Amino acid sequence: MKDMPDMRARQDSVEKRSRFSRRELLKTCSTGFGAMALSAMMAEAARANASSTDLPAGAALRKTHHQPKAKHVIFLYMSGGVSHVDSFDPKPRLMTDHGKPMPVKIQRTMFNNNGNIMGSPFAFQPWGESGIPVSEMFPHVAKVVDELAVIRSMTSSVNEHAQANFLMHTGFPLMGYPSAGAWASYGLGSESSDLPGYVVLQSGAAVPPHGGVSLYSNGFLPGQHQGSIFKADAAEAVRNIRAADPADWQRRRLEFVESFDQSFLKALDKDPQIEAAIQNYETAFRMQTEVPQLCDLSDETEETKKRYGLDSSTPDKAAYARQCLLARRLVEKGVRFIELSCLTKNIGAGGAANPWDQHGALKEGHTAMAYQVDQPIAALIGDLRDRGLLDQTLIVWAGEFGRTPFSQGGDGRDHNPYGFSVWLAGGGVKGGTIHGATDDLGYYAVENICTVYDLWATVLHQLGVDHEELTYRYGGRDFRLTDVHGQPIRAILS
Amino acid sequence: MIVNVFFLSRTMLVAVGFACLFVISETVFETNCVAKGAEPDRFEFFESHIRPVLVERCYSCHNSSTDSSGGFALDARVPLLAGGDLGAVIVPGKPAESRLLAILRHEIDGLKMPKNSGKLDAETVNNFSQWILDGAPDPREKAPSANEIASVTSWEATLNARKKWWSFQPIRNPETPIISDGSASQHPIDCFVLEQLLAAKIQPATEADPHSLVRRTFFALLGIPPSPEEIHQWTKTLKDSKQFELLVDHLLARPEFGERWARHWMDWIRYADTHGSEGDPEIQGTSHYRDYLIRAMNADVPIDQLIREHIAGDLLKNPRLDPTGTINESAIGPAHWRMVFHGYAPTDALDEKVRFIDDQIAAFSKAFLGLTVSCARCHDHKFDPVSQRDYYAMFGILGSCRPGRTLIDAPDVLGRHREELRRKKPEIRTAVAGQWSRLMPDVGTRMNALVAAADTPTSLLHLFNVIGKDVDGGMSFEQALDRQQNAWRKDHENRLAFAGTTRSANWNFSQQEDVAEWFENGNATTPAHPSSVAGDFSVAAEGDGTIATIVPAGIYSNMVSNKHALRLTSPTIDLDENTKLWVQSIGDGGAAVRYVVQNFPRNGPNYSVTRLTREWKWQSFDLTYWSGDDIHIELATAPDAPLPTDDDARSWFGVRNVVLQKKDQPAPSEALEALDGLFEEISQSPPRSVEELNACFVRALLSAVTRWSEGKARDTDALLLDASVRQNILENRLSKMTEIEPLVQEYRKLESDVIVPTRVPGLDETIACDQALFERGDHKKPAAVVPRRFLEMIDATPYQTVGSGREKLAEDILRSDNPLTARVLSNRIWHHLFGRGIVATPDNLGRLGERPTHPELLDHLAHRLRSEGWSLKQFVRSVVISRTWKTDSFPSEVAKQIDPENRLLSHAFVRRLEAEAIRDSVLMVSGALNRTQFGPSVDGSTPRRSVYVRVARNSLDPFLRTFDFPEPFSATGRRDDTNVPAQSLVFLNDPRIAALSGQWAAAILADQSLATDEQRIEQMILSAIGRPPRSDEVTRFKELLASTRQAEQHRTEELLDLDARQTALQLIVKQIMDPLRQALESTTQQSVLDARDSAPTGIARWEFADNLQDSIGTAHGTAHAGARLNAKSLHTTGQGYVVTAPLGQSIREKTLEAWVQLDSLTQRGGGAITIQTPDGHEFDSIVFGEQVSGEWLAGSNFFARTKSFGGPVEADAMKGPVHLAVTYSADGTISGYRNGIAYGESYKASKPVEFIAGQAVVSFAIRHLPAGENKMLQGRISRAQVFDRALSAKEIGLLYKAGGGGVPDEDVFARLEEKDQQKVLQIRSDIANIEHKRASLRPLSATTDPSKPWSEIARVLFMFKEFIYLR
Repeated sequence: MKDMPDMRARQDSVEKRSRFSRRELLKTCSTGFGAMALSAMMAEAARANASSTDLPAGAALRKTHHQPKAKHVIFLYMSGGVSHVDSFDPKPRLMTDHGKPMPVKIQRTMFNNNGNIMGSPFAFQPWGESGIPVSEMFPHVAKVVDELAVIRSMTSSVNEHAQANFLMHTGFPLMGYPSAGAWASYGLGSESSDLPGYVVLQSGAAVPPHGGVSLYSNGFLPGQHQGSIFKADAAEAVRNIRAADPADWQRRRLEFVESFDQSFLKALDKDPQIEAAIQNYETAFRMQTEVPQLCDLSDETEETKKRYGLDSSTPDKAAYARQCLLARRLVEKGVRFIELSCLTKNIGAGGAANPWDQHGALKEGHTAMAYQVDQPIAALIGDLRDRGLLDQTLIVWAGEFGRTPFSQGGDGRDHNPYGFSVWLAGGGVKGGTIHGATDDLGYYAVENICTVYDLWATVLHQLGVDHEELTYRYGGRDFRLTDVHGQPIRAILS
Repeated sequence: MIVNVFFLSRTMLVAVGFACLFVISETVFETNCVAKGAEPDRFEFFESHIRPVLVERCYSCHNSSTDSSGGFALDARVPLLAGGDLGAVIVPGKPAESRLLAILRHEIDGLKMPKNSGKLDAETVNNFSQWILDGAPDPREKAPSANEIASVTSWEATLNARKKWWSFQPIRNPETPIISDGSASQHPIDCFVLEQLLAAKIQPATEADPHSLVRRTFFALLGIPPSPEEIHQWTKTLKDSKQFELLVDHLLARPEFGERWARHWMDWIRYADTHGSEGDPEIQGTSHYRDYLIRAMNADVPIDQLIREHIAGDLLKNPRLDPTGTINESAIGPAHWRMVFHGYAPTDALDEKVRFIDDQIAAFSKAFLGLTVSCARCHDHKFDPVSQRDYYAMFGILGSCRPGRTLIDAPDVLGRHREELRRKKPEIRTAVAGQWSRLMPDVGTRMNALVAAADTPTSLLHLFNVIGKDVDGGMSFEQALDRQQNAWRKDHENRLAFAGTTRSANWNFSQQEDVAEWFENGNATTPAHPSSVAGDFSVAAEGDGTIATIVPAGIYSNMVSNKHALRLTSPTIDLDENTKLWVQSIGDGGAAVRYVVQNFPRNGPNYSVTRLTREWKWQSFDLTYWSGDDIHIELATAPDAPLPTDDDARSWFGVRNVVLQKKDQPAPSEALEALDGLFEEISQSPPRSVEELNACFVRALLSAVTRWSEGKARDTDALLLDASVRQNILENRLSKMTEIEPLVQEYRKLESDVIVPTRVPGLDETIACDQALFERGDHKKPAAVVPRRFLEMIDATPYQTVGSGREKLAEDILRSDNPLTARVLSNRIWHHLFGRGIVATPDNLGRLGERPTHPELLDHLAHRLRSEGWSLKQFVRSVVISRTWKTDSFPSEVAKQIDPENRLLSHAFVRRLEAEAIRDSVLMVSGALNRTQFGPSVDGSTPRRSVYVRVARNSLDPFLRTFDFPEPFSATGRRDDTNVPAQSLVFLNDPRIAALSGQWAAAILADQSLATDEQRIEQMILSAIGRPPRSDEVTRFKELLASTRQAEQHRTEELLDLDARQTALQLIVKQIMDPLRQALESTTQQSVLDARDSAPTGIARWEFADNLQDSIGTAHGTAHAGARLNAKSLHTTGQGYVVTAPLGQSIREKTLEAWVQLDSLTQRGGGAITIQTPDGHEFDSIVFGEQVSGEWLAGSNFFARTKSFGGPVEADAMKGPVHLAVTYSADGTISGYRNGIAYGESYKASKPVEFIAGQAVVSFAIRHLPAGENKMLQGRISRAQVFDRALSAKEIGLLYKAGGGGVPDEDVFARLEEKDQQKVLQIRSDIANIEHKRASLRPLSATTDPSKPWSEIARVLFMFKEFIYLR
């Protein structure tokens, strides 16, 4: 095959930069061996236009498809399902018709304990120049509402937590598929050599939502793209990250090991996978100092900590604040995709895996949950803006579904996948926008209906990626984050 | 470069190399083939690379016969060059100016072709570019006709074209090439491989050295490294190929072979122990399936038999039994169908059903057919000859089965004594009835004694009670009786009214035709005895009762033994609006009834499961919610529900009626049915007094007994007798029925020999139902029904089976004209042996899979697999003895240039070990591996082989996941092989690795056969990497040993210095606090006594004053190895220990408490108090100085629940006793306390282990059993206690006080003057700094432990690439 020598040379140079094995490199090219990989690169080169930007080594894409508006994503996941009609989608009719039966057929609900129309226990008022209404649940976020593009017409296709969580994270309602963060890490790589591309933050007693750690899975993508869980307030933020031995001791050990590994490498004709594995110890060694430093907030000013709410006497709020502040630090380090985890208040069926799940005691539960996240999130937006990072950081705020406009058990609301609200901020999003609408009961999305595929198509678009072009061949099919659907929601982009 | 040419027809040709293969119909070709022959060379490229793509991907939209999209037809030269509405897209000779390429590359928004069927691969696009560059030569003068277009673009044409792909061709038995090179091996594998190598002018690598080869062979066959002894033994003689064959045969016969290869198979079918999603419920019994695979691999059960069993093993006419004849092995195979992901309480149940059947189809078709059939769920497959109808034909087969449980005991075991017991019953009935008749005169007396207490309506004598009260209250007897008669009449009318309601479905199990409509699974009933007539009964299996139940006509699981299994399910019901379900049932021991929506097996909101009660009851379910869905009704004994409700061995149920009717119809009533006989008596001869009424009752009872005795009992008789027995109206005590006792004892003896069946997850057969195809995969859009059948590319004949047709499917998978299965399996085995398959994508042999590197060799292997009886061991053997497998892993220069990917197999691949092999190696090398085989899955912290580690979907073992253990999602033929820092971090910092290194070091030092450091080093290197060290390597290791010792020495000095400073500081604090403390203590003598009163009491306590007795329970201790009592405490000197009798109650949450004085502060790893399983495999313990010198620790098996509390290093325990307590909360929180206050920080571990009553023992002065090195405490234990809950901090404080521990530090501190407080705080902060420094010196410490430097040797060996990579 006449292309082969060129191919080798090119690979070698890429490998030197990336420390990726040849095999991985070919995998990331997604088209297989030999000439195919080369032609894929040629095609890509041909497509590249002036506004594409180069991506770090290790990324499946060598360049973005177009000018990116964001380099990082922060995914504020409101696990359990925030009520849209109590937060960002005011429905006066619920107040006027409070206590009346629903005028339309009620779809099957999770608990089949449906009451009548329930007015919101929260007052709404318009905020900022845009005048977007926000309920009193979120007094701090309300103050930065002009940065937000609120989508009021989001929908899900499933009505139960685990599947809806999978759908929201991976585009498929079951385990086994790569999470959005894994896709971002795979496609765009990480800009930090010592930190993974997809980090999931937890603090306090936060746990993964229903569905478990598979929600952060790399699925069929290579394993380095799986979400790495950082416990923001634990002595050991990452599994096995705390050095068990003094640094000089480890260093001596590593040097000893490497001297042997090098002769093994030589005996195997410099097998690239062995070479990469040897490098790996160096990375791990550096991570041992990198990660604790990152999680050590002592170099932040008291003012900053206060701004986020780290001084709060409410432990869960202080814990969530820590995640938010750490998210900013991770953005500064170049981490591509950061997901945050809410902590439970154990109100109205909202357990550790689904803190917002107020099937009962909605007012109490949502008040407490909103109190936990409101100030930290607003601070994160403000802090990123002040540091000039908001432009390159896309914030996505979403739960897995909304809640019903009618009551469950008198003072709660059941799941509602037919219409709910999510919002985006920063990263080229047109702030102060409302997109789409639900009906006057807030039951169904009726205008500019959006799906999770549209959401991720938008996120990828802002990252400079055409969501139809970021694919991975697995099990006889080219898979994408957006399955076979989705379009960027251009109306909310600036 | 190799060229595979497939000649497909006399006219056409096909693809080269790795390109995709396209075929076109001869018709189209010939009608257009004007230029054929004229310029063959010029058009050859078009014909082979361009035309097939146009035909398959473009013609259907862009043709001259119909209204072409964009006005563009490309089915002939002229229109193709002309282009469409937007002008020409091809400029011959100028690819850069040809828009077609941009369109194909999807560079133009809105013009991405081909539309909706995936981008063409880059090579094909390049072919177009090349073709345009060559001037776009095109021989097509005339466009094909509409008919021709239709025929070439129809599914039939597509199917026929696609069927020509290599993997769908029959398996040939290609002749082995003759290799002229005289020195070459004549092994067919070598001949096939050499043929291609020689053609490419590459010399194969030489044979690997014996050490590499032995190591490689052990891992490939067993998944574990060879021991040093085995390495010596086999490498000596390996040059002799016969010796190598001996090695292979030896390894094939080892039990570990099955463990290794079963795990591979588990990858293929995505083995899992849980269903995932919210709750992640266990799929009980999966470990039986894993053990079945291990046994099958070891017994070399033919693979075709295993596949047959996987699909329909429960239905085989002649099931395969294990060698003991007690296990029905075949029935275990279908368990894999149940290892699906299940959502939680889906509101759209059909959607969920579609998903889990899709999961089944995906895993199964990839595993055994190497095909992605599930790609055809929404449309015909985009690339392979699989239609959407194929998908729904298969869906129909699996959708006709219900999740169930399968009994896997051999049929004769399941039927043991059943008929004999049944035959004994009439004799018992006659005898009991006789006795009752004789005792009938006593009934009146018994009644009188019982009536007063019969004040609830469920009591049979309730009406007597009420009449008595009414009469006492002044009512006349007649009036009182009349009231009761009216009540009964009303009840009777209600029953009649209910019987007459309009019903959508109704089954009365006294009717045989109704019984026959339901499905019975289990061993309780048989086709001859599917149900019971009124008066059937069960005999009490134990206790003083004689008759357990007497039943009305119905279906029962317990008529012979309540150990028998039964799952009873209804036909499928399509639910109307507003339906209510009524089930008249009884049961006990966790048996339950539920409605099953769309076969969903889990419970949850709107999927209720109702446990049955010992009283007859009409269980009801409002099904309004599920209108429009398919449901069935299920009653099952506890372990027999698809997701068991309980594991009670004796669980049973009975059912009489099942009714589905509208919600507004009358509800049933049943309260007084047992008294029908009484009211008959009353109406025949109306009583005039209570005495006469009693007589009526006795007469009614006697009539019932008589009819029962004659086998003519009515339902009401059975109910009356049953209630009379249970309510003590009839004598039922065996001890009082002496004549009957021998009969019953005989029955019981046989019954006790009836086994409790072993259950595995499985499928139930019902009546098959063909599936409607779902338009675009949307389950809300059913279209035409597709008959159940196999893939149409093999055979489209519909299945004519009553059941699902799984047996037919098994036959079809294995039929000789299906070439896929043997190829797929051969390739899978090859993949696991070489690290890469002949087809590099083992789950996909379709068009998007890789092409085979050695197609003829693959056919040869597949042919052999079939002709040699599908023997895995034969296959493995014949592969690994080939020279190809034995080659060295070093590529030649030529190979590197010509074949850098080693597709031609000139040398062996360097491979990283799989996750399991890495974990197993660490365990084995360090001597920790517990080689027990089989049994329930274990936690990853248990040192068993990884194949036994639980695969819980939501919490996969983190160690294994780090090394690419696959998520159990779909078939995984080829695992990822990633290189991530988390892997290095494991070897750098995982405390388990540190502990295993220590264990290994200790074992090496204890090995008497190793006399010198050199020998020890050699032994360790040999164990870890399978080869002896080179001499310079030994030197380097000796240097490491020396430098480690030196560094330790240095650090020891540093530590001693820190210790001294710390002691001095502590002394200052003492001086400040002691005076105040003494003052406080003198005033708090009384409060100590108070504390004694209010301190909590445990479940066992040992005072050790003058004996080893448990002063609360019966867990008395016994001294071992010289442990003795001395000065009111247990004194041990590093040898002795005490073990107690088992605890009398099970405990999960717990607190361990002990007062301990130590003989030395530098001792390591001794346990003070330990609770443990009798073998010590699982334990929780208060341990001293195990991980860090001087630190107290909550020790546990393999550190499973152990983390450092980070508490201060012990400084006082030599001066006097210190009080220690560790609490284990339900949520996994573990807290330590020392002298009444928190010791370091609490942490969260896995949930507390339950220690079982009658098994768990407590021990003192030993970390865990069995006794041995490094576990013994030197010191005194003066008091100890175990609690069955996690005590609060306050309670621990009380215990400390009550034990005479004095005033806690914090109390003293609180009373200090402020300046003293400041001083103390400052010193404490200084001490904390010292602690911090100490921590940075971990794990080194002031120790003389000689194994430490050796532990360092172990650590570095685990980090070697040579340890985790195979050459």
